[in-house]
Amino acid sequence: MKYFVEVYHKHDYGAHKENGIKKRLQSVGLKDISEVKSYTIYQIDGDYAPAQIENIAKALLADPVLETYAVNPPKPKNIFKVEVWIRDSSTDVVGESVTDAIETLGFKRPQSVRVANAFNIDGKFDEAALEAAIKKTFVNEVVNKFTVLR
Amino acid sequence: MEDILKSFNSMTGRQLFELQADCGWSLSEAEMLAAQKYFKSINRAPLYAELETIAQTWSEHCKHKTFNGPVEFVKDGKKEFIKDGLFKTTIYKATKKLNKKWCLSVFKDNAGVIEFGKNKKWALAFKAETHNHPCAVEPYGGAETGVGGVIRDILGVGLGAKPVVNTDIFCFADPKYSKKLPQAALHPARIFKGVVDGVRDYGNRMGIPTASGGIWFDDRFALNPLVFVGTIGIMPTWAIEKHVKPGDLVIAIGGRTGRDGLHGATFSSANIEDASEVSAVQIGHAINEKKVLDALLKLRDKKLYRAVTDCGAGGFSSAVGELGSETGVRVDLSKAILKESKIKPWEIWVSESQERMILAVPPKNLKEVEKILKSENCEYCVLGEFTNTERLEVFYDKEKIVDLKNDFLHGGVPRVVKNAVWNTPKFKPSAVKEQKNYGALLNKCLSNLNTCSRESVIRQYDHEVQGGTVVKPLQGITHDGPGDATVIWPASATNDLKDYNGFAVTHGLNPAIGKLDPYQMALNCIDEVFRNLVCVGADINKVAVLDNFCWGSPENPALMGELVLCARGCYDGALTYGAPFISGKDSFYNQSKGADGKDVAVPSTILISAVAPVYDVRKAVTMDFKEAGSGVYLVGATKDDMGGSVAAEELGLVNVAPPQVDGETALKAYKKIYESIQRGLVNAAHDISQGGLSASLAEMSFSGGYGAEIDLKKVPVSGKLKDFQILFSESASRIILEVPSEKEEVFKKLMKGVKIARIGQTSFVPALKIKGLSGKEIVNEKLLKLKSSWQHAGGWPA
Repeated sequence: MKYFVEVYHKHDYGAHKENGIKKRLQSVGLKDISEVKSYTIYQIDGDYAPAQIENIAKALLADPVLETYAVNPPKPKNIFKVEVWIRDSSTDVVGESVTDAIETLGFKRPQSVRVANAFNIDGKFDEAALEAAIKKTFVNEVVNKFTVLR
Repeated sequence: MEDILKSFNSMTGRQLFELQADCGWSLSEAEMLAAQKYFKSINRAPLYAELETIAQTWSEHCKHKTFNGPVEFVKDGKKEFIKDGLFKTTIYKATKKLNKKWCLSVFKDNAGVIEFGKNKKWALAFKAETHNHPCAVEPYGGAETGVGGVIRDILGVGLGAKPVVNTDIFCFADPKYSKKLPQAALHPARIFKGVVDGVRDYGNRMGIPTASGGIWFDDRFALNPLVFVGTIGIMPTWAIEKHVKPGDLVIAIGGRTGRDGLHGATFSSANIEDASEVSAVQIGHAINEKKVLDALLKLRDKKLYRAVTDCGAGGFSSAVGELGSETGVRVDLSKAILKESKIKPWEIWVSESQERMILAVPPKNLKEVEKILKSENCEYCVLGEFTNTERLEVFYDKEKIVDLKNDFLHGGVPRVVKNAVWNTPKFKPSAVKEQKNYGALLNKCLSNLNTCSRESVIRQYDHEVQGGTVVKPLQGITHDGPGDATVIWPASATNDLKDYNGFAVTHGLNPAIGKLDPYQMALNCIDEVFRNLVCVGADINKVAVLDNFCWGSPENPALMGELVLCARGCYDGALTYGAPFISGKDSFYNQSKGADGKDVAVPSTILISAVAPVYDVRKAVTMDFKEAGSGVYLVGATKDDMGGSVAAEELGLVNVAPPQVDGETALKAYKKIYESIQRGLVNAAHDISQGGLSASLAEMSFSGGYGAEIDLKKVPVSGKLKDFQILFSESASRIILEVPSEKEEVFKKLMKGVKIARIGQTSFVPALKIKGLSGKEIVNEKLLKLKSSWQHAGGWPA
């Protein structure tokens, strides 16, 4: 079974990263960005009980001081959600490390772990403009795949 | 494919060429015919994995065919045949002729090795590599794996050295590049950001300081960036030699093998648009490599293996083949630890999955080796054993997929004659209308992309980890001035805190001169590394250099002509300065089709990397002015050498001569400077390079927080020069020294016989004031303004 664990910054601890995302998107012409929230998504493919996934998220994926998390959260409403993944044909090295770490913690080794950089973004632009900007900044289609959802 | 290969021995040359093109092997028709001849001689058709092995082993990347092959050279209409090839007649010949006893292992292992420190206990290994093609396609992954690869070269030299510093030099197009790019090309700003991120993430995670480097901008790098990465390691002298013995086990350690990185060696030997397969792109895994590093050094110190090498281009095929080239080797690929189950045997064999190394381990040591690898959480597998058959035998379980004779595989590649042409261009003197004030041009030169601050990049690298970075890349009272060379105290490797031996590392690169005169480009780069090294107090009598040539297609006679001249410049430079080449690499086919469909090659570029001992790191000198009232001395003559200069670019000057190096005179001066630094007579030293005398004075001033008052009438010149040329010429072999007033007399005596002049003094007034030849002030700029121009050039990627 596939679980999606999303790890978010608490408060404004991710502000520097989010400013960077904003600047990069603006540098390729995406103006009028009102809000950016960045986070990480872990896609864990394995046979775990919900409580075990909670434990993995708590003990391994989220820093309790700086971060919080959610397992299989609903899609955010009225805002674009961008996910940038490593293509399945390329090695996801962070995913590999997480796979090893889950096993080291005493859980069953997952079949795979893939990791995405994600951000929710809002502003006065349409999906096509956002997609074009993403392709020029955060996605290299040689190694990445991505989704833009609203 | 099996059916096609059954008729391999009866194929025509054209059919063979088409076959290799379909398979992405980057071999020529002559090479395919040589392979066919071998299989005809043994009376059987090749197996697919055998042809893959030949393609990897014979690739330009692995065999350096252009440098080793003969050249038909026509210079200004005069023909010459270079039968023994460029490597043997230039780079290698210079090193052999110089015959320095402190060179311990050169041109035969993964890196060059020289003596280090006292009592002959330690050795220093240095290697610089390029990872250009991967960085053009996937900058982050390409840069990461470039760094990972060169670190493994150092782990795989001799029995392994501990990496103590990484270097990085990039050539990019202007980040604000606005011309049309081909559909698939990434914008130069993205390439820049991705490459820097990749170098940063890999080096920082490995715990190795990235402390020396540079960036060059030229729009002809838009489609093909150059990414040079280097590593220096320290090893005990007993670990320099490696010897495989028949019966030793072949053990692969580190990362798992997957489909990633297939055809990397052949990919880097091809034009990008010909072969940009997704599988050639790899993603680095620094944590895995750190495990390999830690495990390997433990195994080395217990002397548990007899040889080691890294899996680089060609993967297992190159690494296993290379280690077994004198004995023979038999491996079973079904024993390899894999990332995926659907991978074919030949793919396992040539995969370039990262972070893997091969060890030759005596069977009696296996248990101990396994224990240490497990304790470091480092995966491994026993792939097979070294034999005495002088054959490369590869199995997948019971099926034999490769059986080749070593002498054919390693010596059977045909030598192909390359054509080279060079027509010497004519230059004219630089003519510029004199100005009343040069402050504006000086600020412009300081903010030129090839002069301005690299702090935003340097600060991303951890250049302090391991605690041995004595002279840092950024210097001065606020730690943001441009250093000439980095001084490293490798106590993290020697574990001897009472031994102050260290080394300085630096680079020379100038494609702008190369555009005008490739021979002078090589000489200028060698001169630049000497200037940089002497400025920090390194012993310039023991400089070892590395060459990295990056060129377009060697099938283009004009580019080959530039290569011949550049290699000859290397030869002459090495002999004149007494600096042997200890390692080097070449990268060809750095060219792609632009948006208009025309081929664009990178400017022919050589990187000279250099290292020299600093016997007492506490005596090292930095480039910032240290106090007011000191004498400012200029060593070396200024000439009308505006060709390739920053000012020439700013003013649009063309067809003007580049700097001509007089190495003998320069070396004499450098030896005196070295002595004066050793005697503590010099407060600060800085070489004159991009932006000329005025820019170097500005850098020393704003980095130290002291102004300077300079008189151009005092500047030693050659020929009749005007203020403009004296201020902005980029003549080679010039160094500015700050000498405290109480030491000036001793200093002047010591420097007798050298072209030197006291051109002014440092001042408490925070401004750079320069009087022209007429006696009138032609520059009066506040240090804050100069620094701001230098720091806020703009144009760096967000």
